[in-house]
Amino acid sequence: MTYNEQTSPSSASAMQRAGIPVPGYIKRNHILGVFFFALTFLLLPQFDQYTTAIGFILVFAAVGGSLVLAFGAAGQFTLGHSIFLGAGAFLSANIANDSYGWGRGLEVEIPIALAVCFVLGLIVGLPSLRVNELYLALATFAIAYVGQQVLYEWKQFTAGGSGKSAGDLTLFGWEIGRGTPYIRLSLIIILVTFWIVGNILDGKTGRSMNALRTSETAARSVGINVAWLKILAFGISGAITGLAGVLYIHNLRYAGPENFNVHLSILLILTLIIGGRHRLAGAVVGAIFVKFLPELIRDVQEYEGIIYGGALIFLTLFSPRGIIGLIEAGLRSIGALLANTPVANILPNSASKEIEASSDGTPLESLSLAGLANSEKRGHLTVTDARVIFGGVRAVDGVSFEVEAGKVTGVIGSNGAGKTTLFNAITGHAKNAEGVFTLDGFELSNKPIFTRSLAGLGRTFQNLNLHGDIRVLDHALIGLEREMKYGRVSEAFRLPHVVRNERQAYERSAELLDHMQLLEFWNEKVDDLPYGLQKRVDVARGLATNPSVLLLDEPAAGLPTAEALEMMEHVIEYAEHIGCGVIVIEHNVELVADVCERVIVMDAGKILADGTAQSVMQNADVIAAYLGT
Amino acid sequence: MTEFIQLLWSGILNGMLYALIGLSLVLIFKTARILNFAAGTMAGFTGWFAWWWATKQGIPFLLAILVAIVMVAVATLLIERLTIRPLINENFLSIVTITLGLEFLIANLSINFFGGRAESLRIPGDIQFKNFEIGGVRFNWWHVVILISTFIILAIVGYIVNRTELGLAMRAFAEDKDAARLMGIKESTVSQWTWTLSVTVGGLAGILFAPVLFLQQDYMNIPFIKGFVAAILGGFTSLSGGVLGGLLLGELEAFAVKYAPRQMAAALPVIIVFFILLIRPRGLFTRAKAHERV
Repeated sequence: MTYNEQTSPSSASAMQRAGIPVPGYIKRNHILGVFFFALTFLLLPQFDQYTTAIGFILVFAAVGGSLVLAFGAAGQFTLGHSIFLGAGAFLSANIANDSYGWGRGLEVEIPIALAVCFVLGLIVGLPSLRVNELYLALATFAIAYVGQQVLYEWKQFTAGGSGKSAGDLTLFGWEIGRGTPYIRLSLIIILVTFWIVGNILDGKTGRSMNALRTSETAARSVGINVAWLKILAFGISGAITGLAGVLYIHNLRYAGPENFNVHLSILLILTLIIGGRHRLAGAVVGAIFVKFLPELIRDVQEYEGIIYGGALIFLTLFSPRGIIGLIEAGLRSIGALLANTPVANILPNSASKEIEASSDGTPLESLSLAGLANSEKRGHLTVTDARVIFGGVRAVDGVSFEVEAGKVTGVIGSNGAGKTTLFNAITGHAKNAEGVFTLDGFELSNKPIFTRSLAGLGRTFQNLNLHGDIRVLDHALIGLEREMKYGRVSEAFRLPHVVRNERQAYERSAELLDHMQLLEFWNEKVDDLPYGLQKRVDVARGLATNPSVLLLDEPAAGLPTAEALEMMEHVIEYAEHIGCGVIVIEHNVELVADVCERVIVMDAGKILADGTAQSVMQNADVIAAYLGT
Repeated sequence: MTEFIQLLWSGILNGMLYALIGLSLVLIFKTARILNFAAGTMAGFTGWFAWWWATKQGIPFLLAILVAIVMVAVATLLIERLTIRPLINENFLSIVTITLGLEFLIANLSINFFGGRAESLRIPGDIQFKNFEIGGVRFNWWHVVILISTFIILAIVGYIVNRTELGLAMRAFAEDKDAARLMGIKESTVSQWTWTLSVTVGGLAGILFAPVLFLQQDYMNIPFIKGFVAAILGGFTSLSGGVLGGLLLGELEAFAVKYAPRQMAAALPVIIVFFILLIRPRGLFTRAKAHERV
């Protein structure tokens, strides 16, 4: 995993200085995964009496893996996954019994289960476009309930209440023996599935899903197509669960509609919560806990519910990241003891270290940022007759202006003057906005938020819309989403061009963080940062999208003037470098006068004054309405 | 006509069950934004508990009900204190997970404790087996008791929510948590009494319908799902919406059994509700929420 070919020979790159691991093909988790796979594979004959239980662990682990995507990453709390398990199982049974004449065998069952459940997933995901959290749980719960009724009534497919037997277990014509050979085959299937899910999580899809979970509004504003991503999460997750359904029926050798009830759906998601929903390992650990523990201690079966319930309550109260969270915390403590350092020092949120400055020049001259240099000015924004009305309040009342490309413009005005609402109208966050907006000749009006962003409109948020538990580095990478040119299928198999693209993105993100003086905090969760740094992360994410015009909504609010000025200097330096215009809402008049060539003053939804900072500050109306004497 | 009224009556009866469970869910959701997945199991536990006092311990019927309700209410105070309160400011998911955990735990406990065999809750005078007729429509005496009791329960809950100081605090929390806190309303008090009220309403439903549904280990599971659907139909934040949703669902079911194809009868009401929700995701009886603040 050496990485030398693309860095400049003369000095260490930002990534090297910060110690950011280079994205590659093999990770530590892969080695761990293969190790446990090999161990189970070899020791399997020793556990002959448990083969059905182990088969179930694998089924639950696969479903858990699929839920890591849809729930752990994308944050879609779904109670509908029993549907996919049922669909996969009955498809498999029908094909294995050759009901359709498509030929039998796993080589037919698995692709068909994947394809059908992918489409089914896209459909089940539809409610997620309109509702989230509770209402999504309700909607998917209703789908699972109706789905089971459908299974009962669709007798050609499921044989109704009497159920279907799994049929022959073959792969390319070879008979697979029940017991150990079958479990070994399942193990291989799960290993491949997990590798693929892991690749998706590491790539742009996983990152955008995490962005969507932590802030949908912000995800839209960097150009992520949130609607499609949500549905896609259900599709991929459904497909994998369908595959698990194939394994389910072969493991049980028989299944009826009663197997796929709403309770199963709940148990599936609980399994992942118990294990730890932020990691694939959590899916495995949860599956072992839920499916193997009761098997191992027979007396315990009577108290299954008490153990599951107790574990859930205990973990939710004391380790929200599940058993894996507990293990991770334990390992950190042991590591600390061995290294004889205080625990606090090696916790991730205190991992930052001083980073030596680059030896040659500023970050803007570094390799990938230098490539962004653009002497052509962009960001010619026109706003014509913008109106936003909330009930009886005209928050923005017929505002028109034009901003020249590559200029820094300030917007000032008292609270409630309609500044943020104006931004929201331009970016599409205000749903009932009227008016015509164009950016470099591209018509923005009536386009979805993410399209406007892709057209070159970048923004930050007044009240910090950051991605909570996500690292600072990933915020820059999320901003770079549009630069990830690889397809999602290539991503799933981590083809060489995916890795190349990821490396470039990491490099560029690191350099951007370096420029914004955030590099030493790259590995921090953004929630753990002080307010001033969070502000900078917000701006960095906006800059990462390489916008034509960047709308900054009170970037300096709450910061000391010196710190604010320093940050604004960096922003404007970067903006000039890439030829991007900046419009900034700010209450700090000193700062506005300092950095803005032109100032627009708003009052009660209208433009009160417009001109150079100098002329505006001396305008009698402005002094009366806003500045005071 | 007689048949129509008979169907209407059976719809009202089922509707009352869904309405009470729906009300129990909405009460908690409205004030605390929590979905209580354990509501059905807790209601079932109360029903079993009343049976246990009346049959196994041989204390008088009404006293058994009272003891069961009071003991479950006290247990709820404890559960709320130990599991819900520490997470009161956490995200929606944490507490939902807790209630799922409670569901598993209580379901298991009630099997171990009450045996899990089907039993029946005997009512003094066996009035659940006695019917009377008006104009060809048959009415069961116990069903009449259910109807009257439900009205009393609804009236009491309505009184508490709309006329008492506790109710005012609950409504304040439902409207704006932070503002309510700033006004000096104690969140813990509101939370604990909301839980107790909600579980009591559910528990009364569990007892009232025990003679109708028969006591089985999870006899309140299906009513829980239906009550859930009723609450969704009502928009999940409106108390009267939940009750109306329950009645509507009850009638839908009663008439689906009669007029829909046999295979569809079980799923049809839920399918209808699902489509209603696609059109009106926030339920039939609520106004749209103000849009998200950016």
